[in-house]
Amino acid sequence: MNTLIHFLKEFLYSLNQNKWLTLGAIFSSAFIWVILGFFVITYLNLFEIYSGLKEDLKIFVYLQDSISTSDQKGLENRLMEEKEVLSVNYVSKEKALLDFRKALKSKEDLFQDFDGNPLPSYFEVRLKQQFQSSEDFSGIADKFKGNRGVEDIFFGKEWVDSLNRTIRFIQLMGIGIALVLAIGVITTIGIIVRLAVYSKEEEIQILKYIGATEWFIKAPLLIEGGFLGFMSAGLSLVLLYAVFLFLNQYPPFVSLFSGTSVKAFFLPPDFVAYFLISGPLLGIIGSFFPLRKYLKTFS
Amino acid sequence: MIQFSGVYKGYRPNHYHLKDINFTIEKGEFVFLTGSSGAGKTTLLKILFCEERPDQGNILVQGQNIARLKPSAVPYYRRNIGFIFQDFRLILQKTVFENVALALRVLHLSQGEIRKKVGDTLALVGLEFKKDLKCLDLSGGEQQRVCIARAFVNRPPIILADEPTGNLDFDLSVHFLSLLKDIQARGTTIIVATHNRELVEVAKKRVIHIKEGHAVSHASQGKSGSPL
Repeated sequence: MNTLIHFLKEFLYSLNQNKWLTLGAIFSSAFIWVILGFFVITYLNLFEIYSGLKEDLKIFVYLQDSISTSDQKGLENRLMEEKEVLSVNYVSKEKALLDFRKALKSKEDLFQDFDGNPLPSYFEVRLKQQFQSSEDFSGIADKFKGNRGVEDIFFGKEWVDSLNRTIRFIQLMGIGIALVLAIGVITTIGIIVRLAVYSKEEEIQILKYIGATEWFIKAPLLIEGGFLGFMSAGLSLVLLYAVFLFLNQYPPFVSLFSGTSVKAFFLPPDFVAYFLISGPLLGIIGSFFPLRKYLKTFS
Repeated sequence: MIQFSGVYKGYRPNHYHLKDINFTIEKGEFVFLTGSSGAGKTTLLKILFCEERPDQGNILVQGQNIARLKPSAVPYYRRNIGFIFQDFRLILQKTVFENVALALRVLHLSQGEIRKKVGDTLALVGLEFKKDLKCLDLSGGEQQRVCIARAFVNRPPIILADEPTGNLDFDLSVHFLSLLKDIQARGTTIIVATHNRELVEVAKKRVIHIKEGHAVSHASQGKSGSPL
Protein backbone atom coordinates (compact mmCIF):
# COMPACT_ATOMS: atom_id res chain seq x y z
CA MET A 1 0.00 0.00 0.00
CA ASN A 2 2.83 2.37 0.98
CA THR A 3 4.61 1.50 -2.23
CA LEU A 4 1.48 2.15 -4.29
CA ILE A 5 1.07 5.54 -2.61
CA HIS A 6 4.74 6.18 -3.38
CA PHE A 7 4.20 5.33 -7.06
CA LEU A 8 1.22 7.69 -7.31
CA LYS A 9 3.10 10.43 -5.43
CA GLU A 10 6.09 10.00 -7.75
CA PHE A 11 3.81 10.16 -10.76
CA LEU A 12 2.13 13.37 -9.52
CA TYR A 13 5.50 14.82 -8.51
CA SER A 14 6.87 14.11 -11.95
CA LEU A 15 3.83 15.69 -13.64
CA ASN A 16 4.28 18.78 -11.51
CA GLN A 17 8.04 18.94 -12.11
CA ASN A 18 7.78 18.41 -15.86
CA LYS A 19 4.57 20.38 -16.48
CA TRP A 20 5.66 21.84 -19.80
CA LEU A 21 7.31 18.67 -21.06
CA THR A 22 4.17 16.68 -20.17
CA LEU A 23 1.86 19.23 -21.76
CA GLY A 24 4.04 19.34 -24.87
CA ALA A 25 4.06 15.55 -25.05
CA ILE A 26 0.26 15.36 -24.64
CA PHE A 27 -0.41 18.00 -27.32
CA SER A 28 2.09 16.65 -29.85
CA SER A 29 0.80 13.08 -29.42
CA ALA A 30 -2.78 14.38 -29.62
CA PHE A 31 -1.90 16.02 -32.94
CA ILE A 32 -0.89 12.62 -34.37
CA TRP A 33 -4.08 11.06 -32.98
CA VAL A 34 -6.11 13.85 -34.62
CA ILE A 35 -4.59 13.01 -38.01
CA LEU A 36 -5.41 9.33 -37.51
CA GLY A 37 -8.89 10.16 -36.22
CA PHE A 38 -9.59 12.52 -39.12
CA PHE A 39 -8.63 9.81 -41.57
CA VAL A 40 -10.73 7.16 -39.80
CA ILE A 41 -13.80 9.44 -39.76
CA THR A 42 -13.36 10.32 -43.44
CA TYR A 43 -12.86 6.68 -44.34
CA LEU A 44 -15.90 5.46 -42.40
CA ASN A 45 -18.14 8.16 -43.90
CA LEU A 46 -16.89 7.48 -47.41
CA PHE A 47 -17.32 3.75 -46.93
CA GLU A 48 -20.86 4.30 -45.69
CA ILE A 49 -21.71 6.44 -48.75
CA TYR A 50 -20.43 3.77 -51.13
CA SER A 51 -22.11 0.99 -49.19
CA GLY A 52 -25.35 3.00 -49.46
CA LEU A 53 -24.93 3.12 -53.23
CA LYS A 54 -24.76 -0.65 -53.24
CA GLU A 55 -28.32 -0.80 -51.96
CA ASP A 56 -29.38 0.81 -55.22
CA LEU A 57 -28.01 -2.06 -57.28
CA LYS A 58 -30.92 -3.98 -58.85
CA ILE A 59 -31.69 -6.55 -61.49
CA PHE A 60 -34.53 -5.51 -63.77
CA VAL A 61 -36.56 -8.45 -65.09
CA TYR A 62 -38.70 -7.01 -67.93
CA LEU A 63 -41.90 -8.88 -68.59
CA GLN A 64 -43.67 -9.55 -71.88
CA ASP A 65 -46.99 -7.74 -72.23
CA SER A 66 -48.61 -11.12 -72.89
CA ILE A 67 -47.49 -12.74 -69.60
CA SER A 68 -50.31 -14.39 -67.74
CA THR A 69 -51.01 -13.58 -64.12
CA SER A 70 -50.12 -17.12 -63.02
CA ASP A 71 -46.81 -17.04 -64.91
CA GLN A 72 -46.04 -13.67 -63.38
CA LYS A 73 -46.82 -14.99 -59.88
CA GLY A 74 -44.78 -18.15 -60.52
CA LEU A 75 -41.80 -16.10 -61.72
CA GLU A 76 -41.99 -13.86 -58.66
CA ASN A 77 -42.06 -16.90 -56.36
CA ARG A 78 -39.11 -18.54 -58.12
CA LEU A 79 -37.12 -15.33 -57.83
CA MET A 80 -37.91 -15.09 -54.10
CA GLU A 81 -36.73 -18.67 -53.58
CA GLU A 82 -33.20 -17.85 -54.78
CA LYS A 83 -30.81 -17.66 -51.81
CA GLU A 84 -29.16 -14.47 -53.15
CA VAL A 85 -32.42 -12.53 -53.45
CA LEU A 86 -33.40 -10.04 -50.77
CA SER A 87 -36.55 -8.57 -52.26
CA VAL A 88 -38.64 -8.61 -55.41
CA ASN A 89 -40.74 -5.59 -56.26
CA TYR A 90 -43.29 -5.59 -59.09
CA VAL A 91 -43.59 -2.39 -61.19
CA SER A 92 -46.58 -2.24 -63.49
CA LYS A 93 -46.56 -0.71 -66.99
CA GLU A 94 -48.47 2.32 -65.69
CA LYS A 95 -46.08 2.89 -62.80
CA ALA A 96 -43.10 2.47 -65.15
CA LEU A 97 -44.45 5.16 -67.45
CA LEU A 98 -45.18 7.46 -64.54
CA ASP A 99 -41.62 7.04 -63.19
CA PHE A 100 -40.17 7.56 -66.65
CA ARG A 101 -42.13 10.77 -67.15
CA LYS A 102 -41.09 12.00 -63.75
CA ALA A 103 -37.43 11.31 -64.56
CA LEU A 104 -37.62 13.06 -67.95
CA LYS A 105 -39.94 15.86 -67.01
CA SER A 106 -38.23 18.44 -69.25
CA LYS A 107 -38.55 16.19 -72.30
CA GLU A 108 -42.32 15.66 -72.26
CA ASP A 109 -42.45 15.95 -76.08
CA LEU A 110 -40.64 12.58 -76.38
CA PHE A 111 -43.93 10.87 -75.51
CA GLN A 112 -46.00 12.68 -78.12
CA ASP A 113 -45.18 10.18 -80.87
CA PHE A 114 -46.32 7.21 -78.81
CA ASP A 115 -49.83 5.91 -78.64
CA GLY A 116 -50.46 4.16 -75.41
CA ASN A 117 -47.68 2.91 -73.15
CA PRO A 118 -44.54 1.47 -74.79
CA LEU A 119 -42.87 0.52 -71.48
CA PRO A 120 -43.00 -3.06 -70.15
CA SER A 121 -43.85 -4.04 -66.59
CA TYR A 122 -40.92 -5.45 -64.62
CA PHE A 123 -39.59 -6.91 -61.38
CA GLU A 124 -36.98 -4.97 -59.40
CA VAL A 125 -34.79 -7.60 -57.74
CA ARG A 126 -32.45 -6.65 -54.90
CA LEU A 127 -29.73 -9.02 -53.72
CA LYS A 128 -28.58 -9.62 -50.18
CA GLN A 129 -25.55 -7.70 -48.81
CA GLN A 130 -23.23 -10.71 -49.10
CA PHE A 131 -24.21 -11.40 -52.74
CA GLN A 132 -23.24 -8.18 -54.43
CA SER A 133 -20.55 -9.32 -56.84
CA SER A 134 -20.90 -9.09 -60.59
CA GLU A 135 -20.98 -12.94 -60.69
CA ASP A 136 -23.95 -13.05 -58.32
CA PHE A 137 -25.88 -10.62 -60.52
CA SER A 138 -24.94 -12.51 -63.70
CA GLY A 139 -25.92 -15.83 -62.09
CA ILE A 140 -29.47 -14.67 -61.37
CA ALA A 141 -29.80 -12.90 -64.72
CA ASP A 142 -28.63 -15.98 -66.68
CA LYS A 143 -30.89 -18.29 -64.72
CA PHE A 144 -34.06 -16.33 -65.50
CA LYS A 145 -33.24 -15.18 -69.01
CA GLY A 146 -35.51 -16.94 -71.51
CA ASN A 147 -38.04 -17.97 -68.85
CA ARG A 148 -41.62 -17.94 -69.99
CA GLY A 149 -42.97 -14.40 -69.97
CA VAL A 150 -39.53 -12.76 -69.58
CA GLU A 151 -38.74 -10.18 -72.26
CA ASP A 152 -35.27 -9.24 -71.11
CA ILE A 153 -33.09 -8.98 -68.03
CA PHE A 154 -30.83 -6.06 -67.29
CA PHE A 155 -28.42 -5.09 -64.54
CA GLY A 156 -25.66 -2.51 -64.99
CA LYS A 157 -22.75 -4.98 -65.13
CA GLU A 158 -20.19 -2.22 -65.60
CA TRP A 159 -21.76 -0.18 -62.82
CA VAL A 160 -21.72 -3.18 -60.44
CA ASP A 161 -18.10 -3.95 -61.35
CA SER A 162 -17.00 -0.36 -61.02
CA LEU A 163 -18.73 0.15 -57.68
CA ASN A 164 -17.27 -3.08 -56.29
CA ARG A 165 -13.81 -2.08 -57.52
CA THR A 166 -14.15 1.36 -55.89
CA ILE A 167 -15.28 -0.12 -52.58
CA ARG A 168 -12.41 -2.65 -52.62
CA PHE A 169 -9.99 0.17 -53.43
CA ILE A 170 -11.32 2.29 -50.55
CA GLN A 171 -11.02 -0.71 -48.23
CA LEU A 172 -7.42 -1.49 -49.25
CA MET A 173 -6.39 2.15 -49.23
CA GLY A 174 -8.05 2.56 -45.83
CA ILE A 175 -6.19 -0.38 -44.34
CA GLY A 176 -2.90 0.79 -45.89
CA ILE A 177 -3.16 4.41 -44.76
CA ALA A 178 -4.46 3.40 -41.30
CA LEU A 179 -1.49 1.06 -40.96
CA VAL A 180 1.01 3.78 -41.93
CA LEU A 181 -0.67 6.29 -39.59
CA ALA A 182 -0.79 3.73 -36.76
CA ILE A 183 2.95 3.15 -37.16
CA GLY A 184 3.37 6.95 -37.12
CA VAL A 185 1.36 7.18 -33.90
CA ILE A 186 3.41 4.42 -32.23
CA THR A 187 6.73 5.94 -33.35
CA THR A 188 5.82 9.49 -32.36
CA ILE A 189 4.44 8.54 -28.97
CA GLY A 190 7.50 6.30 -28.46
CA ILE A 191 9.84 9.23 -29.20
CA ILE A 192 7.89 11.64 -27.01
CA VAL A 193 7.75 9.25 -24.06
CA ARG A 194 11.43 8.46 -24.63
CA LEU A 195 12.25 12.15 -24.25
CA ALA A 196 10.32 12.20 -20.98
CA VAL A 197 12.26 9.15 -19.79
CA TYR A 198 15.60 10.71 -20.83
CA SER A 199 14.85 13.67 -18.59
CA LYS A 200 14.76 11.24 -15.67
CA GLU A 201 18.00 9.45 -16.46
CA GLU A 202 19.80 10.83 -13.39
CA GLU A 203 16.94 9.89 -11.07
CA ILE A 204 16.79 6.37 -12.49
CA GLN A 205 20.55 5.97 -11.86
CA ILE A 206 20.11 7.11 -8.25
CA LEU A 207 17.28 4.64 -7.70
CA LYS A 208 19.46 1.86 -9.09
CA TYR A 209 22.30 2.78 -6.72
CA ILE A 210 20.09 2.66 -3.64
CA GLY A 211 18.89 -0.84 -4.45
CA ALA A 212 15.55 -0.21 -6.16
CA THR A 213 14.24 -3.19 -8.12
CA GLU A 214 13.39 -2.82 -11.79
CA TRP A 215 9.67 -2.64 -11.10
CA PHE A 216 10.09 -0.02 -8.39
CA ILE A 217 11.79 2.19 -10.99
CA LYS A 218 9.52 1.28 -13.88
CA ALA A 219 6.09 1.53 -12.24
CA PRO A 220 5.78 5.34 -11.87
CA LEU A 221 7.20 5.87 -15.37
CA LEU A 222 4.81 3.35 -16.89
CA ILE A 223 1.90 5.01 -15.07
CA GLU A 224 3.11 8.32 -16.50
CA GLY A 225 3.36 6.86 -20.02
CA GLY A 226 -0.15 5.41 -19.73
CA PHE A 227 -1.54 8.71 -18.46
CA LEU A 228 0.19 10.62 -21.24
CA GLY A 229 -1.22 8.23 -23.86
CA PHE A 230 -4.74 8.40 -22.38
CA MET A 231 -4.73 12.18 -22.19
CA SER A 232 -3.45 12.62 -25.74
CA ALA A 233 -5.99 10.17 -27.21
CA GLY A 234 -8.78 11.78 -25.13
CA LEU A 235 -7.74 15.29 -26.15
CA SER A 236 -7.66 14.28 -29.81
CA LEU A 237 -11.26 12.98 -29.54
CA VAL A 238 -12.39 16.27 -28.00
CA LEU A 239 -10.64 18.26 -30.75
CA LEU A 240 -12.01 16.02 -33.49
CA TYR A 241 -15.53 16.25 -32.11
CA ALA A 242 -15.30 20.05 -31.91
CA VAL A 243 -14.13 20.21 -35.55
CA PHE A 244 -16.86 17.74 -36.57
CA LEU A 245 -19.58 19.85 -34.89
CA PHE A 246 -18.22 22.97 -36.55
CA LEU A 247 -18.12 21.34 -40.01
CA ASN A 248 -21.63 20.01 -39.61
CA GLN A 249 -22.88 23.63 -39.49
CA TYR A 250 -20.76 24.53 -42.52
CA PRO A 251 -22.88 24.35 -45.75
CA PRO A 252 -20.10 23.26 -48.18
CA PHE A 253 -19.36 20.30 -45.90
CA VAL A 254 -23.01 19.32 -45.50
CA SER A 255 -23.51 19.55 -49.29
CA LEU A 256 -20.89 16.80 -49.73
CA PHE A 257 -23.48 14.39 -48.38
CA SER A 258 -26.46 15.69 -50.38
CA GLY A 259 -27.78 13.19 -52.88
CA THR A 260 -26.76 10.29 -50.60
CA SER A 261 -28.82 8.54 -47.99
CA VAL A 262 -25.97 9.02 -45.47
CA LYS A 263 -25.73 11.76 -42.86
CA ALA A 264 -22.18 12.70 -41.77
CA PHE A 265 -21.33 10.86 -38.56
CA PHE A 266 -18.54 11.00 -35.94
CA LEU A 267 -16.47 8.02 -34.76
CA PRO A 268 -18.77 5.20 -33.63
CA PRO A 269 -18.56 4.25 -29.91
CA ASP A 270 -16.37 1.18 -30.58
CA PHE A 271 -13.79 3.36 -32.36
CA VAL A 272 -13.85 5.86 -29.48
CA ALA A 273 -13.16 2.91 -27.17
CA TYR A 274 -10.25 1.76 -29.41
CA PHE A 275 -8.71 5.23 -29.16
CA LEU A 276 -9.10 5.41 -25.38
CA ILE A 277 -7.69 1.91 -24.88
CA SER A 278 -4.83 2.07 -27.39
CA GLY A 279 -3.77 5.55 -26.14
CA PRO A 280 -2.60 4.42 -22.68
CA LEU A 281 -1.44 1.09 -24.08
CA LEU A 282 0.89 2.83 -26.56
CA GLY A 283 2.07 5.18 -23.81
CA ILE A 284 2.98 2.22 -21.60
CA ILE A 285 4.74 0.38 -24.45
CA GLY A 286 6.49 3.62 -25.44
CA SER A 287 7.87 4.01 -21.89
CA PHE A 288 8.77 0.37 -21.47
CA PHE A 289 11.37 0.10 -24.24
CA PRO A 290 13.56 3.16 -23.54
CA LEU A 291 13.59 2.19 -19.85
CA ARG A 292 15.31 -1.08 -20.68
CA LYS A 293 18.47 0.79 -21.66
CA TYR A 294 18.74 2.49 -18.27
CA LEU A 295 17.87 -0.57 -16.27
CA LYS A 296 20.82 -2.61 -17.50
CA THR A 297 22.57 -3.84 -14.36
CA PHE A 298 26.18 -4.11 -15.51
CA SER A 299 27.81 -1.41 -17.62
CA MET B 1 33.86 -9.51 5.48
CA ILE B 2 35.25 -8.43 2.07
CA GLN B 3 37.78 -10.61 0.26
CA PHE B 4 39.24 -10.03 -3.21
CA SER B 5 41.11 -13.05 -4.67
CA GLY B 6 42.89 -12.97 -8.01
CA VAL B 7 40.64 -10.25 -9.45
CA TYR B 8 41.39 -9.00 -12.97
CA LYS B 9 39.50 -6.35 -14.90
CA GLY B 10 40.27 -4.83 -18.28
CA TYR B 11 38.51 -2.84 -20.94
CA ARG B 12 40.63 -4.06 -23.87
CA PRO B 13 41.70 -7.60 -24.73
CA ASN B 14 44.85 -8.66 -22.84
CA HIS B 15 45.18 -5.26 -21.23
CA TYR B 16 44.13 -5.31 -17.58
CA HIS B 17 43.31 -2.22 -15.59
CA LEU B 18 43.33 -4.23 -12.37
CA LYS B 19 45.72 -7.19 -12.13
CA ASP B 20 45.66 -9.99 -9.61
CA ILE B 21 44.00 -7.98 -6.85
CA ASN B 22 44.07 -9.77 -3.49
CA PHE B 23 43.12 -8.22 -0.16
CA THR B 24 40.82 -8.67 2.80
CA ILE B 25 38.88 -6.01 4.70
CA GLU B 26 37.51 -6.94 8.10
CA LYS B 27 34.04 -6.11 9.40
CA GLY B 28 33.93 -2.58 10.84
CA GLU B 29 37.28 -1.61 9.30
CA PHE B 30 37.97 1.85 7.81
CA VAL B 31 40.12 1.61 4.67
CA PHE B 32 41.35 4.17 2.15
CA LEU B 33 41.85 3.22 -1.50
CA THR B 34 44.51 5.47 -2.92
CA GLY B 35 46.33 5.82 -6.21
CA SER B 36 46.81 8.32 -8.98
CA SER B 37 43.98 9.29 -11.31
CA GLY B 38 43.09 6.39 -13.58
CA ALA B 39 44.88 3.88 -11.31
CA GLY B 40 41.70 1.82 -10.94
CA LYS B 41 40.22 2.99 -7.61
CA THR B 42 36.82 3.75 -9.11
CA THR B 43 36.84 0.52 -11.12
CA LEU B 44 37.49 -1.41 -7.91
CA LEU B 45 34.58 0.35 -6.17
CA LYS B 46 32.34 -0.26 -9.19
CA ILE B 47 33.14 -3.97 -9.02
CA LEU B 48 32.40 -3.97 -5.30
CA PHE B 49 29.12 -2.16 -6.01
CA CYS B 50 28.24 -4.63 -8.78
CA GLU B 51 28.18 -1.97 -11.45
CA GLU B 52 30.85 -3.89 -13.32
CA ARG B 53 31.85 -7.53 -13.35
CA PRO B 54 35.47 -8.67 -12.96
CA ASP B 55 37.03 -10.62 -15.87
CA GLN B 56 38.55 -13.13 -13.47
CA GLY B 57 38.66 -13.86 -9.77
CA ASN B 58 36.29 -13.97 -6.83
CA ILE B 59 35.00 -11.31 -4.47
CA LEU B 60 33.41 -12.52 -1.27
CA VAL B 61 31.22 -10.01 0.53
CA GLN B 62 29.66 -11.34 3.74
CA GLY B 63 30.21 -14.85 2.40
CA GLN B 64 28.57 -14.21 -0.98
CA ASN B 65 30.62 -14.33 -4.20
CA ILE B 66 29.45 -11.16 -5.93
CA ALA B 67 31.51 -11.91 -9.07
CA ARG B 68 28.81 -14.49 -9.88
CA LEU B 69 25.79 -12.51 -8.71
CA LYS B 70 22.73 -12.70 -10.98
CA PRO B 71 21.51 -9.31 -12.30
CA SER B 72 18.15 -9.82 -10.57
CA ALA B 73 19.94 -10.20 -7.18
CA VAL B 74 21.97 -7.00 -7.57
CA PRO B 75 19.34 -4.53 -6.21
CA TYR B 76 19.01 -6.62 -3.03
CA TYR B 77 22.81 -6.81 -2.66
CA ARG B 78 23.09 -3.02 -3.09
CA ARG B 79 20.77 -2.48 -0.15
CA ASN B 80 23.70 -3.67 2.00
CA ILE B 81 25.92 -0.94 0.63
CA GLY B 82 25.67 2.82 1.01
CA PHE B 83 27.40 4.76 -1.76
CA ILE B 84 28.72 8.31 -1.37
CA PHE B 85 29.50 10.07 -4.66
CA GLN B 86 31.88 12.91 -5.37
CA ASP B 87 29.08 14.73 -7.24
CA PHE B 88 26.54 13.75 -4.52
CA ARG B 89 23.92 12.51 -7.03
CA LEU B 90 20.96 14.04 -5.24
CA ILE B 91 17.57 14.86 -6.74
CA LEU B 92 17.98 18.60 -6.38
CA GLN B 93 14.29 19.47 -6.80
CA LYS B 94 13.32 17.22 -3.91
CA THR B 95 13.65 18.03 -0.22
CA VAL B 96 16.43 16.73 2.04
CA PHE B 97 13.87 14.44 3.69
CA GLU B 98 12.66 13.00 0.38
CA ASN B 99 16.19 12.35 -0.87
CA VAL B 100 17.13 10.43 2.26
CA ALA B 101 13.74 8.68 2.53
CA LEU B 102 14.11 7.30 -1.00
CA ALA B 103 16.63 4.71 0.25
CA LEU B 104 13.96 3.44 2.66
CA ARG B 105 11.06 3.56 0.22
CA VAL B 106 12.76 0.93 -1.93
CA LEU B 107 12.62 -1.31 1.17
CA HIS B 108 8.83 -0.76 1.33
CA LEU B 109 8.95 0.55 4.93
CA SER B 110 5.92 2.26 6.48
CA GLN B 111 5.70 6.04 6.50
CA GLY B 112 6.13 6.06 10.31
CA GLU B 113 9.34 4.01 10.16
CA ILE B 114 10.64 6.18 7.35
CA ARG B 115 9.99 9.37 9.33
CA LYS B 116 11.75 8.00 12.41
CA LYS B 117 14.83 6.62 10.63
CA VAL B 118 15.29 9.66 8.40
CA GLY B 119 14.90 11.97 11.42
CA ASP B 120 17.54 10.02 13.40
CA THR B 121 19.99 9.99 10.49
CA LEU B 122 19.54 13.67 9.67
CA ALA B 123 20.25 14.44 13.36
CA LEU B 124 23.47 12.38 13.07
CA VAL B 125 24.70 14.53 10.15
CA GLY B 126 23.36 17.77 11.68
CA LEU B 127 20.67 18.49 9.11
CA GLU B 128 17.53 17.84 11.18
CA PHE B 129 16.43 21.48 10.83
CA LYS B 130 16.91 21.56 7.10
CA LYS B 131 14.87 18.48 6.24
CA ASP B 132 12.19 20.46 4.39
CA LEU B 133 14.60 22.45 2.25
CA LYS B 134 15.18 21.50 -1.34
CA CYS B 135 18.68 20.13 -1.93
CA LEU B 136 19.06 22.85 -4.55
CA ASP B 137 19.13 25.41 -1.72
CA LEU B 138 21.92 23.69 0.26
CA SER B 139 25.66 24.40 0.24
CA GLY B 140 28.13 21.85 -1.15
CA GLY B 141 29.05 20.65 2.36
CA GLU B 142 25.38 20.24 3.28
CA GLN B 143 24.66 18.34 0.08
CA GLN B 144 27.55 16.03 0.96
CA ARG B 145 25.97 15.37 4.38
CA VAL B 146 22.60 14.57 2.70
CA CYS B 147 24.50 12.09 0.56
CA ILE B 148 26.01 10.51 3.70
CA ALA B 149 22.59 10.40 5.36
CA ARG B 150 21.09 8.66 2.32
CA ALA B 151 23.93 6.13 2.28
CA PHE B 152 23.58 5.35 6.00
CA VAL B 153 19.84 5.69 6.65
CA ASN B 154 19.10 1.96 6.25
CA ARG B 155 22.18 1.11 8.36
CA PRO B 156 24.05 -0.88 5.68
CA PRO B 157 27.02 -2.98 6.84
CA ILE B 158 29.26 -1.37 4.19
CA ILE B 159 29.70 2.22 2.98
CA LEU B 160 31.68 3.04 -0.17
CA ALA B 161 32.79 6.57 -1.00
CA ASP B 162 34.29 7.60 -4.33
CA GLU B 163 36.40 10.78 -4.08
CA PRO B 164 33.92 12.13 -1.51
CA THR B 165 35.95 15.24 -0.65
CA GLY B 166 36.73 16.18 -4.25
CA ASN B 167 34.34 19.15 -4.07
CA LEU B 168 35.00 20.15 -0.42
CA ASP B 169 37.63 22.36 1.23
CA PHE B 170 39.99 20.86 3.84
CA ASP B 171 37.89 21.84 6.91
CA LEU B 172 34.74 20.33 5.41
CA SER B 173 36.74 17.25 4.41
CA VAL B 174 37.88 16.78 8.02
CA HIS B 175 34.28 17.20 9.20
CA PHE B 176 33.20 14.64 6.62
CA LEU B 177 35.89 12.28 7.94
CA SER B 178 34.68 12.65 11.50
CA LEU B 179 31.13 11.80 10.37
CA LEU B 180 32.39 8.65 8.69
CA LYS B 181 34.32 7.72 11.85
CA ASP B 182 31.07 8.08 13.85
CA ILE B 183 29.38 5.75 11.43
CA GLN B 184 32.31 3.30 11.59
CA ALA B 185 32.01 3.34 15.37
CA ARG B 186 28.54 1.78 14.93
CA GLY B 187 30.13 -1.26 13.26
CA THR B 188 29.94 -0.19 9.61
CA THR B 189 32.80 -1.08 7.22
CA ILE B 190 33.96 2.02 5.36
CA ILE B 191 35.97 2.13 2.12
CA VAL B 192 36.96 5.55 0.79
CA ALA B 193 38.63 5.98 -2.61
CA THR B 194 40.60 9.23 -2.62
CA HIS B 195 43.74 10.94 -3.81
CA ASN B 196 43.49 13.50 -0.99
CA ARG B 197 46.80 12.67 0.77
CA GLU B 198 46.23 15.17 3.60
CA LEU B 199 42.95 13.52 4.51
CA VAL B 200 44.56 10.08 4.49
CA GLU B 201 47.35 11.31 6.77
CA VAL B 202 44.90 12.94 9.20
CA ALA B 203 42.71 9.83 9.33
CA LYS B 204 45.48 7.39 10.32
CA LYS B 205 43.65 4.45 8.82
CA ARG B 206 44.71 1.48 6.73
CA VAL B 207 45.49 2.29 3.09
CA ILE B 208 45.22 0.05 0.02
CA HIS B 209 47.27 1.71 -2.68
CA ILE B 210 46.61 0.85 -6.34
CA LYS B 211 49.65 1.20 -8.55
CA GLU B 212 49.92 0.03 -12.14
CA GLY B 213 46.88 -2.18 -11.60
CA HIS B 214 48.29 -3.92 -8.51
CA ALA B 215 47.13 -3.41 -4.90
CA VAL B 216 49.65 -2.65 -2.15
CA SER B 217 48.56 -2.32 1.47
CA HIS B 218 50.13 -0.25 4.28
CA ALA B 219 49.13 1.87 7.28
CA SER B 220 48.29 5.49 6.44
CA GLN B 221 51.45 7.00 7.90
CA GLY B 222 53.65 3.94 7.54
CA LYS B 223 56.21 3.19 4.89
CA SER B 224 55.39 1.49 1.66
CA GLY B 225 54.14 -2.03 2.31
CA SER B 226 54.35 -5.30 0.43
CA PRO B 227 52.04 -6.36 -2.40
CA LEU B 228 48.97 -8.13 -1.03
